Amino acid sequence: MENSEIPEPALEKPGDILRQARQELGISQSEIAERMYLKLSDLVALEENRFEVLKGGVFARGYLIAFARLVEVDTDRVVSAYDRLPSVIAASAENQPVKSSSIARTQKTGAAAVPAGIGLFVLLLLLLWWLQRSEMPWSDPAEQAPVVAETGSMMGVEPVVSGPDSSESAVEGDLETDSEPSVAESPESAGSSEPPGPAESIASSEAFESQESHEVVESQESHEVVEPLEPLEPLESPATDESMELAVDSQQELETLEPTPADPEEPLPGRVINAGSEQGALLEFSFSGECWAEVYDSSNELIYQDLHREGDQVTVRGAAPFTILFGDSRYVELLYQGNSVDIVPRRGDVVARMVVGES
Amino acid sequence: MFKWLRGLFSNDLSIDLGTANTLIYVRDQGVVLNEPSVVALRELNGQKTVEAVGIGAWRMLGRTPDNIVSIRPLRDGVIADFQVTEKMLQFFIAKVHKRSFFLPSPRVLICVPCMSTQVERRAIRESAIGAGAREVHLIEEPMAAAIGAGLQVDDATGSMVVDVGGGTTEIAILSLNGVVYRESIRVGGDRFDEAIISYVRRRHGSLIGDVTAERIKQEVGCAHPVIEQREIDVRGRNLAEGVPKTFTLNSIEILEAFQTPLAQIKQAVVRVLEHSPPELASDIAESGIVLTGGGALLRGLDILLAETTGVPVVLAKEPLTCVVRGGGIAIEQMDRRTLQLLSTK
Repeated sequence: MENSEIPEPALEKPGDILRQARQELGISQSEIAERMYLKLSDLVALEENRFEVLKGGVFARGYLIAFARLVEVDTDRVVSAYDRLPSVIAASAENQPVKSSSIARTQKTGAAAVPAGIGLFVLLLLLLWWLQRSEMPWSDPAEQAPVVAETGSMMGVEPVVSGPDSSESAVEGDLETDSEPSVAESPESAGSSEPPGPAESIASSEAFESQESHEVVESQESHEVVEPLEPLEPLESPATDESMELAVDSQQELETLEPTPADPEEPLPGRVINAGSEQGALLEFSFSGECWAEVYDSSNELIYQDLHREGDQVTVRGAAPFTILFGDSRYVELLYQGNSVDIVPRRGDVVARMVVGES
Repeated sequence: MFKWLRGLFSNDLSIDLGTANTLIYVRDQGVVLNEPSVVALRELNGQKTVEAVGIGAWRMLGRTPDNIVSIRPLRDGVIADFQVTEKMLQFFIAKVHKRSFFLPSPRVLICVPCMSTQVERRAIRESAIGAGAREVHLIEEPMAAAIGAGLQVDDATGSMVVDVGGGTTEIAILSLNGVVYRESIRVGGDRFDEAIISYVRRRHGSLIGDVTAERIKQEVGCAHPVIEQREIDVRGRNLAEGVPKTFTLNSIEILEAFQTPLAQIKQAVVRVLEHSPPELASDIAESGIVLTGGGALLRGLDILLAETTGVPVVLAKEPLTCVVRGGGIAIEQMDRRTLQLLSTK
């Protein structure tokens, strides 16, 4: 069947070729067997193409080559005819180490998948490790915790503080130094958005000054405007000095312009306050300590009240006579129209209430 | 640890570390490398570096300047130069793992001469480990040759193998996956080459090199007079005149030159048959002797041995690669744990 392409050796089998050649030469089977050192039965089996009785393919092939040499037949022709036998093809396929082991091939296929899987897994681990290493400053809770704590306490002013603190972590990579300011700026910008509050209050206080209304109610309103700065007061860190000074300056400005009650804890120097109306009798107070003061004019209307500290200088004008109350008369000196007035406190107390400017 | 990881990306190898040629069989790929066991070393400021390995170094044999020396690190089937052998193995292992990203670290099965000493086997093992192998197993060459030739070595019948290599001729009687009797003589293809060189110098007064002697052996060499006679023109340096001279050699002359090594092989084969147990000798007489190895390609050697022993002698299919193919089959059987013939000494 497979020899249909080649007409001449169409049906040729190695045994047939050799038998024909031997008969043409007139050599007997026994003579060939003797010269090949083979048993006669094996030679007969060769000629009858019964190779299965021989001990394995290697011997059958070798015998055929030796037989072909003796009968002067091309050994390649005999061997190729032998190799084309279906039984030989099957046997060689079974015996070939490359093609033989379907088991081994399956094992190898599995074995190839396992290394590939493990290799991918290892690469994934390496990638994760690298990413983790590069992002470590952000993911490390030990470093992140102070930022969070300060964020909570500083109410948006913390970027000023966290900047220097994070400078160490910023050394670790450009990624950190690039990205960190962006994070730090967002609260800072939030902080910078606050100044309009004080600025507005300053503007309103200036407007108030230009009106020179000297009304306590308005001064209280301006005091309320300043209130948003109060969260800054707990600041103790030197890092917040700038923002603190800004807030304090604006507040100082306010208080020099209007008689707003000062924060008792605020370590401010002596203030100079002008209150009351533009005309009328003049009262001048000089405080050497903390003291509460109230001034009522002739119509018994409260024209001035405030808590004062050491160094405060207050000038009040209004319609005399004035009814004045001092919380601690020990720390106050009083001048009425430029003349000193003795302050006599109540008996057994430092509180003094008096009437000045009676005609 | 890293060898294990690298081993995942390496193929199991069977290596026929021969005196003349090194063959490597890669599992599921077949014989992928067959190159001469030759290394060319360049010497520069007292430091030796590898210039070429394998076929490239073989072409340099006898054609090198002073600072390049082309050497064969194996002699008589065993390692003669440990470090160069290691470099050569490293080169060959890397060559069969071209597509590997990692440095290869394969499991290796190396075929060793059956009569090699423990020291020689240890040298081969250490050399392979130094070349990057993570596991080294050794197998005796006649056993690998028998498996590669297709003999049923696990049967309770005797088989006889004559493996004529480059440096040694290994003769063994096998039965039930074991070697019953073995003999190894340090006669092989190299000895035939030396015989040709000696003959040419003696008869023709000319000097020829190893490469020319190898070519003569392959083209006109024979071991029996009934083989077709051939002739070859050879150019060598005339010893008397000192100039190159051309002369002709024929098969009869080469046969005459081969008499000594052929006689040694014949004696060894007869000696093994004499020492074989009677039952196995009977099996061998009935079936025959199988010839393997590159030396088996010498024309008429099977006829010579058949005449000498009175036993059928057959040439294995592809005798040059029988040993390494047998090692490849042994590697696959090793994983299935059906083969208990691997010598790990």
